[in-house]
Amino acid sequence: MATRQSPLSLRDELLGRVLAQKHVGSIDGSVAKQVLQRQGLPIPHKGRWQFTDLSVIIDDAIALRRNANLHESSVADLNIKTSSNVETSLSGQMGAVEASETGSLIAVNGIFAPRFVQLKALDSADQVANIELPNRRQLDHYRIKIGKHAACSLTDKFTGGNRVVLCELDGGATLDYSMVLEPTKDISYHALVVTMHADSTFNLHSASRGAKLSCNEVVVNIVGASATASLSGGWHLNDHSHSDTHVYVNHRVGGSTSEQKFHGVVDDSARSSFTGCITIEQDASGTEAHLTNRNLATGPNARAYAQPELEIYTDDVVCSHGATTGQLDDDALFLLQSRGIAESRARELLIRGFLRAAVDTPEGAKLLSLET
Amino acid sequence: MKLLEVRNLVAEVDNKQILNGVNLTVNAGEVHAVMGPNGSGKSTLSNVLAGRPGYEVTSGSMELMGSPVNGMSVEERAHAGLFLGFQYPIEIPGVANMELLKNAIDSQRSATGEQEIGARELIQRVREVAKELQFSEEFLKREVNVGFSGGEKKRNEILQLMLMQPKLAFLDETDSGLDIDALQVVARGINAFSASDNAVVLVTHYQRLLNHVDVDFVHIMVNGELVKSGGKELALDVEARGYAEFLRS
Repeated sequence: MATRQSPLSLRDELLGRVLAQKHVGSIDGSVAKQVLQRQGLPIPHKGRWQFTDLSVIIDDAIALRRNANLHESSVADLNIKTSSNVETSLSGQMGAVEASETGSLIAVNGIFAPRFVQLKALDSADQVANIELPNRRQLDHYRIKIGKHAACSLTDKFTGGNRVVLCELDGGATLDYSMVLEPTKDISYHALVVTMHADSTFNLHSASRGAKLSCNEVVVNIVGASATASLSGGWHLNDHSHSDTHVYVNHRVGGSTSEQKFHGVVDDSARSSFTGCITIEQDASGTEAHLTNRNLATGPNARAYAQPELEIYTDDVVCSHGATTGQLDDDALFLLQSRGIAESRARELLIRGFLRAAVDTPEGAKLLSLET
Repeated sequence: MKLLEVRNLVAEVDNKQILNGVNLTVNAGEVHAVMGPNGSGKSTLSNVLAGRPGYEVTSGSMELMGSPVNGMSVEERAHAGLFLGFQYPIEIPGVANMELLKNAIDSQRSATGEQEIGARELIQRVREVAKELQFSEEFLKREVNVGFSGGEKKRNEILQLMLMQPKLAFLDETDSGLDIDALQVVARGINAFSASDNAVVLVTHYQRLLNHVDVDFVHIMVNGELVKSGGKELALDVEARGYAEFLRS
């Protein structure tokens, strides 16, 4: 009879599995290893990680490292599209992978990624910089800097694999980030960490169709005053697909604002989980932060879990957080049917309407079939 | 031509019997008013006819254009020519008015084997009707009833009615919550819709809508039954004396 491993021993076993790998990527793997050893992995099947099998993500990262194409030696090989006011370089030593708030999966990517790509949108450019990351199933690691008073539009389409994108917004910079997580029967781990300096603006527009296992982490660290972060997105899952979204917004200084709005639809036997956390640190008085997550479970065996969190360590803040999970509005369905619209089409219209409230880019609308 | 025939209709909601044997016949070219006190079953009759889930017919019959209604889905009843005007039109976030109208008209056309309406034709028709109802074009781009005042929601119902051109309009308290100007606009819409080949049933508490719409028959509903029928004078009588005499009988 098989015995089930305890979560703690499984975590240690997974950590050992990572550290035993001989492959070390060009990112400062030794520092990443130190971070991982110090911090450890999250405890599998517990708390925020109860809906995603960590071992699957780690095993996939190891497999991707083994299969990585190590012959790509120039930026051109990577097929990144940029405007002329973006500088791009490949590899180099960048120091430790910051993993303190994010959980250590980012450090795992840092250990295994064979290279990293650095991009910089030049300071005070007259024109909006454009970056389009390549869509390929790889271990990718990007470090992107948006220069002072620069504006950048970034498109990140992703169909499975293991990708970490670290962004830093200098003073007065603006980043519009369109994240499109396309459906896949593979494993999908995506992490985005954004550091915002004073007067910067970050807009995230995300859309997802889920994966066999999809884990999407977004971390926003606001370290400068008068910064504005707006994060929105939607997911529509069907069949047996999975999506686990973790969004953390950390206000470290005061006078900044953040807003999160995420809507999810879960159909058939799909499963979604959303964890949204706002942290207002001691020096962050005068912050305004809001978080809403709404879910529709439309399938007979669909499951949607939501966990909004708010941690406030100072006074003089305006904050709200909330999450709902429900079904389609019967009254709205009846109204549409009473106008002659077939039930299946009426459901489709209501689902589209629900998602449109949180998905506002053409790429997201296309992925989720929200176009009229 | 007989558009609606209801015979000895008994229906319940949540296992509570609300309709206790309703009889009603509506012919083409007629305008009827169903009046009655709160809780008499007027809205239940509307919902039962439209097939709202949770409203169960336990006996009796309903026929639309000569076809039995029982067993028809909500949308099939609409395809058969029924339009239900809602007492409280709800908001549908994320669905634009024009999207609703196009889907509704296309569904009707699909049921009769016609082609979908073209964008240009739709816009032209909607503009014409909107103008008649003093409805700003801006409302057409907005989400269905979201942020609309009570009067705007009711005008939106009439807009849908005029565009869909059903055979039988069953309007559940379309006049509630309207100021006098909005009431006149809504009444104008109903009068414009009314024709020799269709029929209107107005469900209302008050006689005031009937000052602006010519009705042929007035029915008083009490305790789930239509207890008296007459002409327009019956509505005036009720306005003057209330429903007390019907409640006593």
